[in-house]
Amino acid sequence: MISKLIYFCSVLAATAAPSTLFAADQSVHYNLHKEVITINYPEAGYTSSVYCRGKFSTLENRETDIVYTELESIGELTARYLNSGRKYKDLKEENVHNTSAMGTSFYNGMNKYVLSWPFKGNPELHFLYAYKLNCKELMTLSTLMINDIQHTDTFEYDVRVPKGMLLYFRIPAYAGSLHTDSTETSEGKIYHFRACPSEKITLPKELEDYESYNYAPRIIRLIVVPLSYRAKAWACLNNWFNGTMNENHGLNPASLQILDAVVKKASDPDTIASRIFNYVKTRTTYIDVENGLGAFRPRDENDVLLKRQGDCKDMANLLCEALKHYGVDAYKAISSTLSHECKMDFPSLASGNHMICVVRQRDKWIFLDATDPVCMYGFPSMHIQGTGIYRIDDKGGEWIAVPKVPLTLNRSSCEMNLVPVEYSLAGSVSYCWHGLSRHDALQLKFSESPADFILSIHKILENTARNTSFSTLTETETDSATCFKGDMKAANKLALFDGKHSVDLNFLPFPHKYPKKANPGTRIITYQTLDNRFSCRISTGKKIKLKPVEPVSFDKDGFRFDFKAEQTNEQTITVSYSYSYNDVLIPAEKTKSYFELNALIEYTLNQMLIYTDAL
Amino acid sequence: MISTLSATAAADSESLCLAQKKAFRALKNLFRIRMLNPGLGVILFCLANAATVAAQVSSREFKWAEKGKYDAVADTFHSEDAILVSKDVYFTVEMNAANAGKDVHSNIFTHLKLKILTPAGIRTRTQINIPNYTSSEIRTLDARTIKPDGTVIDLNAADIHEMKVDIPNGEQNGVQLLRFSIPGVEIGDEVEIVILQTTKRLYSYDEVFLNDEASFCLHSSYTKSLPLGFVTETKCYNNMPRPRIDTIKGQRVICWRVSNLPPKRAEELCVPEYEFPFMRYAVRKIPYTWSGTQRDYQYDIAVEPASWLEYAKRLNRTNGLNSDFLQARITKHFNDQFDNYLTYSRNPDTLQRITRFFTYVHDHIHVIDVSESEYENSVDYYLKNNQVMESLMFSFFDRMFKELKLNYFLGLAKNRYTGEFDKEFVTIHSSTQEFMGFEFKNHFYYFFLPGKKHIYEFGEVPIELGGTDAILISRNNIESPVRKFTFPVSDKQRNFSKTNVFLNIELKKKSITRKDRQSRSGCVSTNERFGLISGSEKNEEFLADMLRDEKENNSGYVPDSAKIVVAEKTNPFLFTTEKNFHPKEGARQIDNNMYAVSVSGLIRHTVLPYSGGKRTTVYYPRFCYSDVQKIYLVFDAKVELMNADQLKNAWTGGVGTYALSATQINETTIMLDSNYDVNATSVLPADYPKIGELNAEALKAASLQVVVKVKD
Repeated sequence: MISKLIYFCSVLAATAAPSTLFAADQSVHYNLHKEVITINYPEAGYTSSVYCRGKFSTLENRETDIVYTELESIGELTARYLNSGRKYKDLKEENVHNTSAMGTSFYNGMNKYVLSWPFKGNPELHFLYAYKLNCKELMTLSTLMINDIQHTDTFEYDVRVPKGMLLYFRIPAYAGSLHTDSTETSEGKIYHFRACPSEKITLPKELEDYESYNYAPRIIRLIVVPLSYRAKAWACLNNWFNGTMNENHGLNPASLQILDAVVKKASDPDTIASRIFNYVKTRTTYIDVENGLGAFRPRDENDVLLKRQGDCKDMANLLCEALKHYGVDAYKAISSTLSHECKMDFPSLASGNHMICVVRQRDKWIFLDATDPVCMYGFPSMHIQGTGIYRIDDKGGEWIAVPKVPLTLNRSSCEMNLVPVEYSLAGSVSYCWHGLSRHDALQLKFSESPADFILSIHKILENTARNTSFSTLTETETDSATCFKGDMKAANKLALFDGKHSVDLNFLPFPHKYPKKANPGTRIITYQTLDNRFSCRISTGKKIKLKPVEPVSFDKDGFRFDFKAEQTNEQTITVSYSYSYNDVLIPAEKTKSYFELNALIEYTLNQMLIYTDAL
Repeated sequence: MISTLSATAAADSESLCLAQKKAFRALKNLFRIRMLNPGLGVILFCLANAATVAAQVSSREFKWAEKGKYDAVADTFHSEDAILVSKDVYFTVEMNAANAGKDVHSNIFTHLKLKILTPAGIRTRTQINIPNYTSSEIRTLDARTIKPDGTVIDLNAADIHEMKVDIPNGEQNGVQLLRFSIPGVEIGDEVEIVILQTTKRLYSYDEVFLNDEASFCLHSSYTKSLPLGFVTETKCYNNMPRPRIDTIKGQRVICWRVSNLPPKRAEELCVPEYEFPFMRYAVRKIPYTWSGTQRDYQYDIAVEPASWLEYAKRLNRTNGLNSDFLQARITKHFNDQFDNYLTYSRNPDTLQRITRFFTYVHDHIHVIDVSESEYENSVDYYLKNNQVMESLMFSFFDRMFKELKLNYFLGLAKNRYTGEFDKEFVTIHSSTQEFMGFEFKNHFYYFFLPGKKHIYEFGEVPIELGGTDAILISRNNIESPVRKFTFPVSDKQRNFSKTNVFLNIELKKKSITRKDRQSRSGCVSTNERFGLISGSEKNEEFLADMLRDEKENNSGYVPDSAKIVVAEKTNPFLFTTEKNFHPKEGARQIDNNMYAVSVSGLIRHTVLPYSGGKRTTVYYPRFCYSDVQKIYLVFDAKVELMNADQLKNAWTGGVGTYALSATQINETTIMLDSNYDVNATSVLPADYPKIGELNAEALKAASLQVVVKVKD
């Protein structure tokens, strides 16, 4: 079972699927997960009495974990199992040990009790355990789990809310039975939730595939607020961040000295903002330390600047404080990244998983996400575009929509100029990637040595352009584009038979890098709108006649693909194709069209052109 | 070149450089303070440079020299991610004189100075994880960044995060892990790290490379200090320089220094023991004053055996199991289950009995990962379910030989990727694998015990042992001298993969049906056979995996069924499978009577691992082999192959060969023949790119199309 606390953090951790999904062990099956949660009032925090019942069906991995954060403590732990005589027996103390719960963060301060269940008797072992979880911070009561990887049959929750407090919750569209009601008592109100999931969460096979797994809804989001925040739950969340989580350190002289050197006496807010943003995003190493309230509270901005390391909230806070110092209208904002399972549409701590800085310039919002070292000033980062953020201020904050980077700015183009060399095609190639389409290249450039960078680009190109080798690749970079030029050779693509020549097109690059196949119900995040164009000119060096080729066109559910191969002059064949998609993720309901188009592209780019020598 | 150095209490007294002496005196003082004042917080000392260590006044954190010393490095290194300016390791074994023989501990002090040269260097070299196993304690840990102007940014103790991790399979729970990120690092900065670990363990054996794993190292030193009276043996390999030796206050101090060491990168299929200078040392004897402890069981095995005879004697004493209870249960189980199996066979000779017994255990007994105590708790359940922990296998076979009253040998073998077996340097760490052997009718037979990780058939040589030397210790006459034994080299004739793909192409129906038959033999078939020892359930899993793999392959063919046709248990261990596929859309018409059939995804050779880039060490392929793939295209009409020239290739590059040809076998059948052969047993760094070229040739074939013309 996982802790209630969904870590609020970082783009890197956030882009990964919830780490607990990967830590989960499928050899165990839970029949029941039940919690009675009591809100401590007027004291802060809450107490949860947890009861779990389940069974193992194999002899492998006979362990269950109770994970808790630095804000939580576990007490009154009892664990029992059914022995071969069908009697419950207490789990021995020596079979319970405490260790850290590793996640994707650099440090999360989480611990877990590991219950090691005995191997005796039948591989099937029934067990139950119960414990009391105390948490000091009420705001972290933000989720109730209603589906999990262990395929728990039933989840039951009673949330006891005392008079003087209010509970708001958001139920997801849910496959299964979900029952909610409430009972009034003399002490307040008890909310009952009972969920029996029918849709199973399927896991990606590899951690790298996290962007394409089945997002079966697994949580109810909630927030408990004092009565004074009736109908103003967003304000409560805002004030928590703005108050409790906002330690104002103030920039010290050493920091100001660094920042002055960065700003270089600029007075225009745009110039100041872009200089500081570029400095922070390129000079700060991403290190996410998220223990306890440290998961939400930024560290001292002076420390972050001096040590050149921090996570999303640290960088957002540093940017915000630095920009405010130079008179720029800047705020911190909570956001939900594209890969996060919830949107920023409900005032719960679980809704967001990221923090950025926003700047108001000429009546427009500029989104500064310094965790993405290749995020361009003036554009949202690839992780948050198309989502929403909640801006934190001292007036209750506000929700702001984040636009997508338009596809015209993300254009990727590839031009090949080839001539026949024996059975092969060889010549020059140039790739030009604009906007977010250059993200991978910039990321590599940022993180690798120059030699490794070019080697990695070679590998990327050779993976997309099938059966093609590249050489002498050189890179040029401008503010808006990253381009590569070099030579390419596609071996054994030409043939001559019966006086006819054939050109096998199966060396042409597939027009996108996303999975060609996936399980039904999968959503795919592209992280960018797509406008990918390809052109291949084959100069035969003699007069020819190309056998006409049917153009191909596809336009459905936002996907567009066009292909044509034609004779553009007496000696030249030009093959051009393009692929566009004006969104940053492909929801499950559109994947049918997406896969249909993939199959069409595969077919189209595997055809052979036929030409004859012209008389 | 190999040089040996045996040290005793009366060893030579080469003088140690002054700085070194100072360093050790300082370290000794510190440790003495620590021992006499257990309540003292953190030990402190100051590093003026790598070689000089001086005691300092105590405070809560490690105290560095006031100003960082920034070192310039040559431009030639600037393409590296980082280089080590210096790496110094001081290893001290000490004892408390007041409590001789009881209070012994080892201190390992490491001081690293690293220059960061690229963003990748920042990413990979400044986030540090230090695991600390429960037998040791990290007493001091500190790090700092030195800027080019000499200013420093210190790591705060609060930024060192302590975690506990469990090592998988229940090997150890709650291992301390210290994690921190060095603050304020930019390209061109230097980072300095010091770690002092102390342990009650003796570390009676070690193999020491002075190289860094990842970076070029300008200066590296390793210093060992042991109390006088320890008898040690040290052996240097690959021109490792002879050390300086000195005696300082009852300690014998040995120091090796080397400059300009290339990184001991973990390049695939390399053998660092052939490439870099290194030394091995073993503690053979501890002082007489410790004799009380020496009789203690733990200490007895803590020092290294001085001879193979001593090694054999120890083995006889432990016999694989620590628990008498378990030993008794195993004996009973053996008597109940296996005795009958051995005794009531219908007049087989001894060899047949052994192979049958081996086959039975190999096929029916499953090795599981549990601790000895856990196993002991439920031993009857496990034995009933034919589950044993790995160390019990030894007992089973030991018992078998005893039953058969047959002399046998314990073989010690060494994985060739960890260097050669040095028979002259006796240590319990010499071997990486053990095996059993016996002589029968003037023939020597051997087998490896079935285990969790290696499941070899009777007489089969594990891949990593082909051509290596091993030694044999007689189990019945331990006084007899050890024998040398060389495993046969695994040859190409035995190691092959043959795949036949049959495509039935119906041009009119526009349909292709596919059937594959694949045979693998020798080393090539090992991986397949690993999945199959545990009975039908595993077989199904294996076949399901095979189908899944085929589904994910980009051939466009959807697999339908698979079965195992042959699984031989004797040399050359042939393993054959058959796969059937759903019919798929047919050949593409490219002109009036012209069709193209894609062989994309059908030619899939098992190629040598190759990651590109510059290589600095010799590459040792795991074995030589031949991978032959034949694709038969059978049409429902008379056809003529039109692009035979395009489907022709012959590449030779020393490492191996690749050949492709297309032949019209008859009027309706065309055969593509693709051969990938590995001939080299080693590849020099300069020839490494040839592996890439060889693989590229094989890869090119994977995208071909066969063009045919339908005859009238």
